[in-house]
Amino acid sequence: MDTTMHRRDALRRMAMGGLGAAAMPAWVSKLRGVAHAHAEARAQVSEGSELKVFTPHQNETVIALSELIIPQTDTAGAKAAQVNVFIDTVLEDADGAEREAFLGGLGWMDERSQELFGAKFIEAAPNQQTALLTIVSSESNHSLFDRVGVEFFQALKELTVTGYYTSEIGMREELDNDGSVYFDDDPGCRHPEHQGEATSQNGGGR
Amino acid sequence: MTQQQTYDAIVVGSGATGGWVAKELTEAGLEVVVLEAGRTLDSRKDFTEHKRPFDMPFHGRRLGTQATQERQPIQKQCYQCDEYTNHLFIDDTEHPYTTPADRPFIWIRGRHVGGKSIMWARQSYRLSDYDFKAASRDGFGEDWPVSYEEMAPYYDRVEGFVGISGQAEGVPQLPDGNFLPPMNLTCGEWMLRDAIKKKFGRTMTIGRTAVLTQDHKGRPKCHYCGPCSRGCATGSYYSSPASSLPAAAQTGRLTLIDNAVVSHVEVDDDGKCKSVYYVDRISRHHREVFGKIVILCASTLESTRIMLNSRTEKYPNGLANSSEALGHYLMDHVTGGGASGTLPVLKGVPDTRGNRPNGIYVIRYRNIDSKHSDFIRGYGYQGSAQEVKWGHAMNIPGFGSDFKEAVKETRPWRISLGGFGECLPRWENFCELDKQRVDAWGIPVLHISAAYGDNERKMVADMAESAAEMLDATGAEDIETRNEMSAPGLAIHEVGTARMGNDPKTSVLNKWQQAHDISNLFVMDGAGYPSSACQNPTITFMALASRACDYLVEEHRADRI
Repeated sequence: MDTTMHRRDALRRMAMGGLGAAAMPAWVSKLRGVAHAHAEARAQVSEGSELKVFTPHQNETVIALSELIIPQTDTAGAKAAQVNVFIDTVLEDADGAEREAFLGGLGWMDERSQELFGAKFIEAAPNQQTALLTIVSSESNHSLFDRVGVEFFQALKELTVTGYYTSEIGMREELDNDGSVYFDDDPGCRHPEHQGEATSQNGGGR
Repeated sequence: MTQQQTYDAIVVGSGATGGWVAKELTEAGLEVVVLEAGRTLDSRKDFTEHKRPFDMPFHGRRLGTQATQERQPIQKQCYQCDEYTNHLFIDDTEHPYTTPADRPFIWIRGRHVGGKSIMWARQSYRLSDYDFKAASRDGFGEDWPVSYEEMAPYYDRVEGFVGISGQAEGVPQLPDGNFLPPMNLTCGEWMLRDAIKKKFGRTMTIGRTAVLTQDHKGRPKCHYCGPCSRGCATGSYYSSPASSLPAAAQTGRLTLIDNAVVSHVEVDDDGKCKSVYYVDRISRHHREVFGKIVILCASTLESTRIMLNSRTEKYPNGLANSSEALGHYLMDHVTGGGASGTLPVLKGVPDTRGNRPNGIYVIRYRNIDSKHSDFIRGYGYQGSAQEVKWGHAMNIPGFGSDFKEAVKETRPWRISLGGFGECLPRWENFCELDKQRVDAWGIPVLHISAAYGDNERKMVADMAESAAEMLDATGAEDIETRNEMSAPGLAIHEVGTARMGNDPKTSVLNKWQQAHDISNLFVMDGAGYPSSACQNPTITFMALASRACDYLVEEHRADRI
């Protein structure tokens, strides 16, 4: 077990070395930083809530993309968590250049999809959508022709992750803590060897 | 404010020390007025500790809108200032200060009743004679004019009221206190504690924190919701509006004036304080309050700013400044050295930290029993070991259900330590009035010029290297060291600029925090620190104030002030 873990970690580190955060342009890391900083996410907004940045088509595309990144499984996915609304809100407050870069990336996905499959992203078949995402998410893809898409995917993934794990349904179903969990106490470690001289017998100093 | 009334004491500032001074003096029978520059907070509107991420209009991401960020370019550098709390920090555009371009100082402030006791990190550690008498041990700077023996009863008194949870360890450089039961360590923290005791003889203990682990003095124990820095509706950590100010009000001898931005202290023909001037924060009207004794608790730099701005013909360099030391020897705690890593051996072990609002503390070990070759004084570490729930997700490649599952399956136990080091007192680290600029109320602002030196730089390097060694001894992997010295101010432990001492030629205050030059002027906050030590300072501010209040009351009764 342990060796498997170590190997996987090592592989991941090597992979990240090839295409880590440092390789990303400023707009990606800025948007990521914005979303990640306090790592808290988007309010649940009712279905009919107005979009601030996205056109309806862009919105549908972001919903599809985010759900591909974090799909519904035995727990909710990004769509149910309304990650698209979170991203729309982040983009509204982002610098113009960052917003344009993100929207440009979104457009690039449609164009690339058109080239490959003869259909915009949301109209492509599920296996085609997955194929395109596989191209832009590949850490070994250093093709300059795909650079816009690769950078876009990194920004989209960060926003999706942040939005999802701080959403009400994401927190409740995936983290088992919707943010309303309080305690009588802090439970402490239960290991028998860690019940030693210090905290268990201490009644409050002298 | 009527001009007829003369209070026994005027306290400027309502934070950790202002609230404490108000309590002690009113309980001793004095009529006290507290002047607070900011507004009174409403816990139901201003406290956000029970807001969930998705309750926030901008998702709790750092500071919210860009418009807010433009108003708080300094404050947003504080790790506690975010979308939940930015209204508890000042608007930098209204509260300017200047620094030389190459000597930045980060000045974090909260102006409201309670001051930074609302947002503070609550860590509470006693100083020892390793700190009070540090100059005698290594020859740098000045000893404090007090000893641990003199301070201990006042630590007892303050801790007894405030309520500090902690673990007695019997380590002389970090004296044990009058503790409530300690919070619990996580598995990873136990591993660190055991490993560094065994390998290095160093002591790691649970944070000593002003959070109640049992009901105390009418305040309920902590309910472990987590984010204390956003306020606490139950008053389960020490803040002056939840504990000391109500105690003062209980006496019937407290007058609290909020929105009172103090500009200066007025002196009479004998050179003694007679009144305090303030600007009403909202109406901008100028007011004057009269009192027999003035006690500045406005925070380290604000108290000094008030004294500098109280200059007159008799005191052209500011109040109580015959030594010309006022403004000098500014210090903070140097940070930026540390390490973090993962504990693979704990894979799958449930994290029992819950919402514990407290970390761990590695007690200072440098320059205690032996001399370090690179630097004098020492540092302590704060940190934690806990399972990361999803912060590691961007390290996992790909997308889809495999990705989602991997995020859940590979939750790492993360362990980290960050040092807080002593900063040496130096004349050239100082503040003065900036004669060119005023704040939103027309009051001259400070020019602050400070930088860390070689001793701090070497200390931070050792913090980084030693943290990595200790994590390695704990079995951590993927260890990353951090060795990037912080800018002064960022630890928000700023102290000095009106230092205490026995010699009126080289210090501003005597050992009772009373101005050498003016018997009815006291400064009972961090400004009096002669050296910074490396412990979080608030509990010591309060113990010093408590001791000074005993003296003040006695002198007042004997009519010697």
